[in-house]
Amino acid sequence: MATSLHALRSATAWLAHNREPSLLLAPAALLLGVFFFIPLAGLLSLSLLDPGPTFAHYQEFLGNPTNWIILARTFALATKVTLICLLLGYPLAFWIVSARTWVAAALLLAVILSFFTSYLVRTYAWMVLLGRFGVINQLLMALGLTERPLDLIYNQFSVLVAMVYILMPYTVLVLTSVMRGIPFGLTRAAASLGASPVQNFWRVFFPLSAPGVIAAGLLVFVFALGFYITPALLGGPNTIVLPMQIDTYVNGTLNWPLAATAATVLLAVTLVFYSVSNYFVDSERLLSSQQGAAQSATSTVRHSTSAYVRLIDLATALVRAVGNHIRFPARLTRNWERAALGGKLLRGMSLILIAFLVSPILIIVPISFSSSRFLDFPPPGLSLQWYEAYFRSDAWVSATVQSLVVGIATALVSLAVGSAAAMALVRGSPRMRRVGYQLLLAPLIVPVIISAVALYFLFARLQLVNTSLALVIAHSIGAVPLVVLIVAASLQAQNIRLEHAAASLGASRIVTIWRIVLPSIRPALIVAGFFAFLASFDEVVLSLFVSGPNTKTLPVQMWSGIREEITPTIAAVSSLLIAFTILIYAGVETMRQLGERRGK
Amino acid sequence: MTYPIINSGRPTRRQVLAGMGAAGGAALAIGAPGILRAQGATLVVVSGGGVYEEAIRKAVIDPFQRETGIKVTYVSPAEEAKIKAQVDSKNVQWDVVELSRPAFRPDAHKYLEEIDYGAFDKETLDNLLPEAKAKYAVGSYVFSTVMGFSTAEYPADKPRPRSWAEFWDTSKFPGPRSLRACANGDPTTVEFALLAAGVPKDKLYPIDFDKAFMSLDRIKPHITKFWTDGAAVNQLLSDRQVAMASAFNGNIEYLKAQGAAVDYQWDEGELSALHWVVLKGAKNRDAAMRFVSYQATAQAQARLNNLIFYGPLNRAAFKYIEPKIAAKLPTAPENIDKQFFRNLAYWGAQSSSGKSNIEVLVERWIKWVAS
Repeated sequence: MATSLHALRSATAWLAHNREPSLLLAPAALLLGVFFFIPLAGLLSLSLLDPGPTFAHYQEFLGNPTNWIILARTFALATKVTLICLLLGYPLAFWIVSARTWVAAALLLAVILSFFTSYLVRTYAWMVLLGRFGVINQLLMALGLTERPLDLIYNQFSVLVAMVYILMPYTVLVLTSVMRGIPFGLTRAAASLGASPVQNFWRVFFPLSAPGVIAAGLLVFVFALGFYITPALLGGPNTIVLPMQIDTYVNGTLNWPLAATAATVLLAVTLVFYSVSNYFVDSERLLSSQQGAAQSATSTVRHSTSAYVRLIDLATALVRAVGNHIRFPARLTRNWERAALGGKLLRGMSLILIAFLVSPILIIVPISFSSSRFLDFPPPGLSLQWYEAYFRSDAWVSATVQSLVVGIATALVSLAVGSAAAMALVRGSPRMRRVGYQLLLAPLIVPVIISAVALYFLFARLQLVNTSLALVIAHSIGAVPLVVLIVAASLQAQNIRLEHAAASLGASRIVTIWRIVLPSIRPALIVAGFFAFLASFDEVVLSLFVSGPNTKTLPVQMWSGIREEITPTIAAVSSLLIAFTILIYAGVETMRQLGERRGK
Repeated sequence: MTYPIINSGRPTRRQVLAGMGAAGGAALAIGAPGILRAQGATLVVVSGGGVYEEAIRKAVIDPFQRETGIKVTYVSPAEEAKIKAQVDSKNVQWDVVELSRPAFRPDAHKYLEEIDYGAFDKETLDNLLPEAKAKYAVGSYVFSTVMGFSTAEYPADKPRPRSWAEFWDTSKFPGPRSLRACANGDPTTVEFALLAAGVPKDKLYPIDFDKAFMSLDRIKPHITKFWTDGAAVNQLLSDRQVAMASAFNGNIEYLKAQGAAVDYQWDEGELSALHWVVLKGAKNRDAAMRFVSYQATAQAQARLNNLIFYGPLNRAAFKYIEPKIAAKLPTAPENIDKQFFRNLAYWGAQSSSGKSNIEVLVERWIKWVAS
C-alpha cells in the first residue's frame, strides 16, 4: 500500500514536473493507446493465449526453417531499398535545396506528382514499362541493343524498382525538409576559412544533414518491411516476404494465432534492429535537445563524429598529397571538385532519377486517352471514353469525394496531434524522448495487415465500421508517426534561444509556441500535412477493412475492380489526380512565395 | 478472396443511398410481410464488387426484393477474415455471404448456420448438382480454371496444348508460363501438377503431395510468375508476358471478346463452386435462408449466368439459357464431363497432422516457393 502510494506520488510529481511535454503528448498517447496499442495487444496476445496459455505457436513458427529464410529475405530487401533510396535521394534533395526557387519547385513537383498516382496504378504502370514486350524492351530491341527481350520483370529487379519508386518521394521530402533547416551561413563561413568545397560538404553540410538521413532511412526501412502488395504483384516465382506470409495466415488459412506470432516476431526483430542502429548511429541525436543549431553543429562535429571527421581529413590530405605529385590537367581537377559537390555528375544522376520518377506518369496519361480496353502502350487510338466512364459513375465520384474528406480530416487531426507530440519529444526529458519516440513510431513498424485486423475487431464492437470517423481514426494512426518524424526533425534544427528570448521578453509559453515555434517550422508543417493527407488518400489495406458501402474511398473502389479486371478508367482517375495535384501545388507555392515577399 | 468475374467494361453503378436504406428500410418496405416489417429486417447480402455486383443485382437481388418484399443491402467485398472477426466479437452485421471456402473448414459449425433445406422447393432440390448441397452452404455458381494460351505463340495452324502433360512439355511447347499461387489455399496448381504426372482426373484425391511437388519441380524453371489475382493473369496473357497460363474461363472468354490474341480449352479444367453461407447469429436468419433458396432456383440461376460466363449449379437453369451462351459455360452438358470438381470437403478436412489439408498445402507451398 505504502509503496503504491509512493509510486503514485512520484508519478504525479513527475507529471507535474514535466507538465508541458505531458500535456503535449497526451492527445497522441490517447489516440494511439485506445486505437492502436490496446487492439494490437489483444491481437498479439493470441500468439500466447489461444486457446490457453501456450508457446506452441512460437514453437511452430520458429521451428520452421522456411520462416527464417523468409525473415532474412524480408530484411535484406528492406535494407537494399533503404540504401538505394538514400544514395539516389540525397543528391536530388541537395540539388533541390541549393537550386534556384523555380528549379526547386519544378523538381519537388516531379517528386510529389508520383505520389498522387495511386499505389495500385503505379504498380501496374511498371508492368507496362518492364514487360517482356513492354516499353523498355521494345525500345532496346528497336535500338538493336538486344535481340531477345530482357527479363526485367517478375524478379528482384522489378520489386526493387517499384519499391524504390514508391519510397523515393518520402526520402527526398524528409531530406529536403531537414536540409532546409541548415543555415547556409555555416558553409559560407567554412568556405571563407579556406575549406575546399569537398571538405565543406563532408565536414560541415553532411554531418548537419545526418539527422535527416537517419530519419529518412528509418522511415523507408520500416515502410519497406511492411510492403506486400508490390512484392506480390511484381515479384518472381521465388519472391516471398514476411508480410505476404502474414497475409496468408490472416486471409488464407485464417490461422490468426500464427499470424499474431509472425507479427510479433517481425515486430521484435525490427525493434532489435532499431536499437542496434541507435547504438551505432546515435539516432537519438535526431531528437536530442540542442542549444541552438550553430552551437550544436560544432559539438556534433567535435564529439560524436570525430572519427568520421578524422577520416575525411585523412582522405582530403591523401588526395592533396597525390594531387601534388601527379599533375592533373587543371580543368580535370576543377571539374572533379565541382562534381563532388553536387555539380554536373550529381545533377545528371538526379535528372535520371527524376525521369525515373516521372516515367510511369508518362505512361499513365496517354493510356487514359486510349481507345483500347487494355493498358496498351502506345495506345492504338484516342478516345475520352474512360473519362466519361469516370464522371458518369456515381461510385467513382462519390469515392473521390469520400477520399478527399477523409484525407483532409486525417491531415488536420494528425497534424495537430503529431506536431504537439513532436514538440514534447524534442523539448522533453531524455527518458520521455526515448520512450515516446519508440511508441510513436510503432504504428509504422507493425505490418498494416495486423493493425487492420486488430482495428476491425475493435470497430466492430464499437459499431464504427462503415463510418467516416473510423477511416479518419485508422488513417491518423498511420499519419501521426509521419508527422512526428518530419516535425521533430525540423524542430531539431531550430534555435531554442529564440524561444528563451521570447520568454524573457514576457511572452507566455502558448504565445511563444504560436508566434515563434510554429512559424519557424512552417515548411515542415506543410510537408507533414501533405504527407498525412497523401498517406490517407492512398491507403488500401486499413480502408478495405474499416470502410463499408457508405464510406468507400478511392483506393477501395479501385481495388474492388482491379482484382477482377483492369480498364484504363483507373488511368483516367490517376490523370485527373495528377492535374489536381499540379493545381494545388501551384496554389500552395504561390501562396508561400507571396507570403515570403510580404515577410521581406 | 478473388472473384473470377467477368467484366462487361461498364462502370459500376453504386446505390449511394443503399446504406441509408438500411436505416430507413423498415419504413420503406411497404410490400414486406407483416412479421418482417415489424422486425425492421434489412437483409445484408455480401459478395463481389464491380461488374459482378451489377449482374447479381439485376439477376437475383432486385427480383428477390420485388417478389418477397424483403429489403436487401448489398455489401462488397466479401472477406473470410471479416466473418471470423464478426462472429468472434459477437457483433454480426452480415447475414449472408458468397464465398468458396468457409463452409468446409473444420470449425464451420462455430461460424455458420446449418442450411435449412426443408425451405427449398422440390424442383430446385432435385435439379441442384450434389456439389451445391453442403451442410453449411448452398452453391451459387461454378467457375472453371482452364488452360489459357496466347494465339500469337500457338496459332491455329500449329499444334496447341491440350492437356496439363503438354503444358509441362516445354520442348514441344516452348515459352514462359504462369500458374496460380497456392499461398492463399487455392489447390489448382497442385491438381494440375498431378494430372501432368499422369494421375487420372478421377483419382486425384486424396492428394499425393510428394508426387505433386516433384512434378512442380520440373515446371518451376519455366514459370514467370505464380499469379494471385484474376486481373494479373489477364495482363500476363494479353501482354504476351507468358505463352500459356491457368486462368478463369470467364476471364479468357472476356479477353477473346475484346480482341486479345488468347484462347482456351476445357480439357482437364478444374470446376470450383462458390457458395452462399449464413452467418452464425445472423440478425435476419430466416430472410437469409429464403435468399439462399431463392438464388438456387433455375430461373434466378439462369438470369445470373446469362450475364456472366460462369455456370449454374441448377441443371434446370439451362432450359432458360440461350444455347450460344450455354456453350461457353463450364457446367453446360457438353463441357462438364471434360473437367473435374475441386473436392472442397477434402481440403477442409483434417489431415493426420491435425491440420486441415488446406493448411498442409499452404505450408508445403510456401516452403517449396521460398527454397
